[in-house]
Amino acid sequence: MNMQDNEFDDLFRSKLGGLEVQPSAHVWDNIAAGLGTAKKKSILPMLSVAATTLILLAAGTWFLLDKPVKQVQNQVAQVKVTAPKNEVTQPENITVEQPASKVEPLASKTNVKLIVNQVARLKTQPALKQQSLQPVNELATPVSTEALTPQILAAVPTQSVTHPVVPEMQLASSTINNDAPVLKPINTPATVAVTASQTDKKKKHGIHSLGDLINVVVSKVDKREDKLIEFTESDDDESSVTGINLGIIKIKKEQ
Amino acid sequence: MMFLKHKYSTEDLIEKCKAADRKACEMLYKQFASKMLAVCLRYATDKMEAEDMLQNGFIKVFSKISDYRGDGSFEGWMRRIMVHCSIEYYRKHHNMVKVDIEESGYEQSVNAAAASSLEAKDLLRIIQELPTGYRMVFNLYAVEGYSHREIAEMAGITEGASKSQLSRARTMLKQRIESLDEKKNYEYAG
Repeated sequence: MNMQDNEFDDLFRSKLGGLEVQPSAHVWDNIAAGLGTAKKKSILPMLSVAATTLILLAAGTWFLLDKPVKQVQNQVAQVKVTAPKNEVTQPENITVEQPASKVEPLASKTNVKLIVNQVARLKTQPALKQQSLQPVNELATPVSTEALTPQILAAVPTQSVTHPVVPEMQLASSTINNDAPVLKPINTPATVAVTASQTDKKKKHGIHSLGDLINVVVSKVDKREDKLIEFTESDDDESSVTGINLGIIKIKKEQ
Repeated sequence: MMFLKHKYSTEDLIEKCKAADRKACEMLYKQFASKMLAVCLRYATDKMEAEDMLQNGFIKVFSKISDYRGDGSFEGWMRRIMVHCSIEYYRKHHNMVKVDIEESGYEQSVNAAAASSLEAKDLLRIIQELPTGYRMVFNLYAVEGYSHREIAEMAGITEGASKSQLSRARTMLKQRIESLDEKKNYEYAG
């Protein structure tokens, strides 16, 4: 009896379909080894992610630890200017330990620093607290606070007009932009406070690019004069990085 | 073998394997290895080659296990991977030369009784003796049940080549069965 092709195929299918043959023991070892290498490969990208996170965390922590020191330094600088006013009132208010005799030689710079440091630690003075939040530059904060009292206003504009060239901490880009606003305060006292600080000015002008947005966000977080990263908009509406401050590494493009 | 099935269901093991549980992978391997080796053996010339295919196949099974959605039997899914790995193996290791055998002028016939009397191991051996291309096409068509169009796609050959290789494979197999049968009869007679 001759078989049809499909019968012939069926014979093989039925006889071989249920066949089982035990493989050698080493086959699993090879498979396990193959799975092992596949796993190692998949770990690598995870490691790089972990490393990046670690670096970012370390950088963030460093900034947080670094900032208070800078603030104190800024306060020292600020009080140096307004020293004559504060010296008389502060020591009496804050520290009982301070003997009366020590109030006298305050004029010397070393003592001023000492007291100022104490002030900074105690942080009871509302005026100083306000200043510490905005360590933009020396003239910025005095202007904003004095804008409230019209009598002193007369003196303020002269300060701000003469100073812009002097402060080394002010950014090159901002001095150019500040030229016009600085003149305004003489006529309209209300705008003095607005134009005084760099960050306020940016908000007023609106955020044109991603660079501006980053500048605003960074300035909220980073209160140092040289920001973590700083963008400047060029003529052709393109933002470019003009400053990087990683603490140890500071890069700044002069304009 | 059996006690493993009682300890964990195949579904449990699959889920564990998806979570890269090495122990579960080993248990799943042990549960299916001998069945899958039988598949690979049909495509290979010997056990060593079949074990190489099995190894590649299982590595692929475990790396793609998250793709298995539970529709259709897991064994069928695994079997398809084994078949694909076996074809892949030949693409890598053998240049699938079309071995031309002398055309038999007449249609080879085979005695059904003779064919049925053969053991699975005998059938396996005569399949393994086929030229690689013939063996592959015969397995894919006769045992796995793929169409010529599917085979052409999988093996990278034309549909016509698949058809002609299948008929030549059948002819060769029938010749081998006949000779085995004659040998048997001769032994009985002698």
